[in-house]
Amino acid sequence: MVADRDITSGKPELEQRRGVLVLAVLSQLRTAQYGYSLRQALAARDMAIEEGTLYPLLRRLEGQGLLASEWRIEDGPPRRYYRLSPEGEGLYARLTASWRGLVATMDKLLDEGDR
Amino acid sequence: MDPKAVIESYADDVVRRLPRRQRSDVGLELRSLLGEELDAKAMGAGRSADEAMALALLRDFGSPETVAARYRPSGFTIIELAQSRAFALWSLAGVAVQWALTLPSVFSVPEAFPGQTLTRLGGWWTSWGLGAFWLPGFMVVVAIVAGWSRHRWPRERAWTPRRVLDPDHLNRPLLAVGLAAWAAYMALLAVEPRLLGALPQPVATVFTFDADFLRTRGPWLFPVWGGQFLVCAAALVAGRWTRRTRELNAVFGAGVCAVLAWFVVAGPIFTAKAADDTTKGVVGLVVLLWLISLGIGLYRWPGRSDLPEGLAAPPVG
Repeated sequence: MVADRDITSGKPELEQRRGVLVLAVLSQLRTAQYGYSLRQALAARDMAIEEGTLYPLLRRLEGQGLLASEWRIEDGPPRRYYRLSPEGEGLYARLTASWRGLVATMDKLLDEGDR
Repeated sequence: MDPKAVIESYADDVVRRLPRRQRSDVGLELRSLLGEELDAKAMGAGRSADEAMALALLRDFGSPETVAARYRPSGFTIIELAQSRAFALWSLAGVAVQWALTLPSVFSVPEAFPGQTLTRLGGWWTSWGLGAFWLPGFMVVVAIVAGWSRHRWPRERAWTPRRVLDPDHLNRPLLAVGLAAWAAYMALLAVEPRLLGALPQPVATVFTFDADFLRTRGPWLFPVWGGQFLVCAAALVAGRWTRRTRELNAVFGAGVCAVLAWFVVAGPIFTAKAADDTTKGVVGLVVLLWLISLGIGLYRWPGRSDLPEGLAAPPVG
C-alpha cells in the first residue's frame, strides 16, 4: 500500500512541514522580501525550504491575491519583492489563531499519551 | 559552458511550459534568484561558479517540468484517487474482452497460403486490435468532462443511502416473473423437437436440432438448469437469499455454463449452419457474461452473509 510505504519512508515529516509552509511564508512577509532573502530569513529560523518549492509558492500565493509584489532595482539584479496583501493579512491572522489552537490541542493529546 | 548560460537555458526550459502571459515575468525573476543562489553557493565553496556547480544547483531545484508544474495553480482532478483502480480495471478488462472476442477468428481458419495468419493478424491489429482502445479513450473523455464540471460548479452532494441496503434481499415479483418465463422456455425446449412437424417451412428446417446433439448432449442441460431453477424457487419462497442458496446457485450456474461451453465446442447444435453459428455466438456470450458476473461476485466476496450470526445486520425491506 502506498500509504504504508509513505509512513515508513520519512514522508510524514515532509507532509507535516508542508502543512505549515504557507503560514511560515506569510509570517515573514509582513515586511517586503524577495525570494532569496525570504529563504535566508526562514533558514535562519530553522525553517529551511527548498528554493524549488518556495519560489513557485510565492507566485501561487500572489495569484490567489494573498501577496502583493513589485520589481525593485537597488544594489544588484532586479528583484521582485513580496509582502502581504490585505487578504493575506486576514488569512495570516486566521491561520495564526488556528495554529495556536492546534498546538494547544496537540500538546494536550501528546501529554496524555505520555502519561 | 558559462554557468550563467546554464541558468539561462534552464529558465527558458521552465518558462516555455508556463502560460504565455507569465513567461517573461517569471523568467526574469527565476534567472535573478538562481543567479543569487549560484553566487551564494560559489561563495560558500570559496571558488568561482562553474558549469558543474550550476548543474548541481539546478538539479536540486527540480526538473523544469516539476518546477513549471509548481508555478501553475492546481487544476482539476480527472480521475479521483478512489476511482483510479476501478478505472484501470474496467479499461484493461474492456480491451481484454474485445480482444478475446475478436482475436480467435484470426486463428480459427486454416491457412490458404504460408503466412496468411500473420497477414490476418496484421489486419486484426489495425481494426479490432487498436479499435478496442476506444473504451479507455471514451472513459477518459467522460472523466475529463465530469472532472471539469466538478471543478467549474463545485458542490458537495448530500449522501443518500443506496436503495438496496440488504445484499440478501430479493425482488420477489421480478424473480417470480423470471422463473415463470424460465419454466416456459425450458418446457418449450423440451417439446420443441416434437413441434417441428407443425412449424411452417423454412422455420422448421432452420430450427431442426442436430440428431447427435439431441441424443447425447442436449439432455445434460436439463438437470443442471432444473437444479438452478429449484434453488431460485427456494429463494423466492424464503423471500431472501441465504449463504446456502447463493452457494448452490453458483454451483448450478457453473454447471449450466460448463454444459453450454461444451455445446459450443463439441459439435453442431442445429443442422442449419447459420442457425448453429448464431446460437453458438449467443451461447458463448452468455457464458462470457456469466464468467464476468462470477468474477464480480468473487471480487465482492465475502458479503454480509458471511458475518457470524450475532453480527449480521437485521434484514431490511
